[in-house]
Amino acid sequence: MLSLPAEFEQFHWMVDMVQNVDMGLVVIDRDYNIQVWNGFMTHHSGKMAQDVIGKSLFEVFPEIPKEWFKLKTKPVYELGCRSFITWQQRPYLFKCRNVRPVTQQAEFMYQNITLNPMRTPTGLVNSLFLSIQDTTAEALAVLKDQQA
Amino acid sequence: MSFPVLICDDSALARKQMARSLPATLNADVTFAEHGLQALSLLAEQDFKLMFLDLTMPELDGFGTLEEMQKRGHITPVVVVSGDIQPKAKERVMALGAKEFIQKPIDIATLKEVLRSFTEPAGQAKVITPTSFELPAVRRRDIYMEVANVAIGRAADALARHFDVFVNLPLPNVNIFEVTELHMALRDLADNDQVSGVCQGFSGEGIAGEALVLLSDTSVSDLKQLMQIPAESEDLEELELLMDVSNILVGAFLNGLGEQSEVRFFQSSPVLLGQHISIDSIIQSTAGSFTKTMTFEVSYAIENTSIRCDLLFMFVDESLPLLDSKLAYLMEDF
Repeated sequence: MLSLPAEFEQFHWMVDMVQNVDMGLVVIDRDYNIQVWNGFMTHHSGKMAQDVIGKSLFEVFPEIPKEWFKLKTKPVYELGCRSFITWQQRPYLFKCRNVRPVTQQAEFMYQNITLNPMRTPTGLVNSLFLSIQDTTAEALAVLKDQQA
Repeated sequence: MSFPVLICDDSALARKQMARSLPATLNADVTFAEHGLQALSLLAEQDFKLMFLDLTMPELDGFGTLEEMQKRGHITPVVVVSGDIQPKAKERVMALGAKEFIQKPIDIATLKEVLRSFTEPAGQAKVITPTSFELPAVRRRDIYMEVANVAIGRAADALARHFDVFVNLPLPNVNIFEVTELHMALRDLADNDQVSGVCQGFSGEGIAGEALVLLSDTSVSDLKQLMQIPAESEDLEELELLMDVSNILVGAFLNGLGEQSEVRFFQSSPVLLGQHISIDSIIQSTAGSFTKTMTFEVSYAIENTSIRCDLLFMFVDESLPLLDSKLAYLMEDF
């Protein structure tokens, strides 16, 4: 017989996955306040969850251009579709260390960012989450190719 | 007494949907026209109490039809039924004398509401002898065309709102292409001009494909004037622009398609194929492992500028039967 673990255990799994997945996950609300900051973000940016949660994204990362970033969130709230920031546009949004400082010659982690709508049960988009992907290897390969 | 109605739309599916959406109590006597010119000659021959008019059509589009009707003094009330949902499109048709504007796909409740204002106040229940009329036959391609029309309208509206412009809505092209035919179509789009291209993969419930957005170099320089946020360098500005335009068009199109097929599509990160390159280098990058693709081709133009943007939506082999089954409900009667 198929027996699924209790709901609370499944919930624990979800939390565990969000914390340990090899991808940055950040939830921000409509006022750009950080709501979720997962393990990947903590480990690579060096900023602890308790130090960033509840604060404005622009306060924690003053180097992010406000008006530009707001424009990127526009399609997410207005159309309910994803929006993207690729490493070609901006090498990184959140400055993180290069994860292979010895064998990979980069000063920081290149990032592809996806902004995803988060829907309330009534279908409204009141917050969004950013997923941050490490694209250092790809960026270095492309940049090397361009130089050659 | 029957109620003579004229339905003018280039899509057989849209004509059928419209005719079937009319409540039986209306006892409509429906006549169909496939484009504006046909509608005008029908209007000259007989009197209609109401006309439903699409906007994007070959020969003579909805705007032209309304203009011509004013010139010729036709007083048949017109309800515009369109996938072009830009606020400015609505303003324009109202200024041209249309009485109402209904968004595609038609919502029966909205239609009933609209009809109420055109029909005599219903007194007692009348005894209805249904008028029979022949419904147009719908083919698979009609369905794709009409679904694409609605999705394209969404994408144009999104672009129009983002840059605050009016987008001229084109007629889409739907074709099943072999690889070589796709290359020919691409070459047709670009002529000799240099282009910039962005591609974006998408998928939803096993239906997958890729979108290709092409902007000619002349368009890019015009588009830059519409940018709200100046970037650090000119190159970066262009890149931002390409990514934004591509993502908005693709995202909105997928929303429109998803709504009609009840699938939620997700697009993946946009990838720059190249800036200021010849169409041949784009073609080189489209030699994937597919044999056939169903392609929606659309060319958007922004009014009063030389901006033209080509959008290609390509669904690959194994997605086609899945998409067919999702859209099968449109083939059935309702």
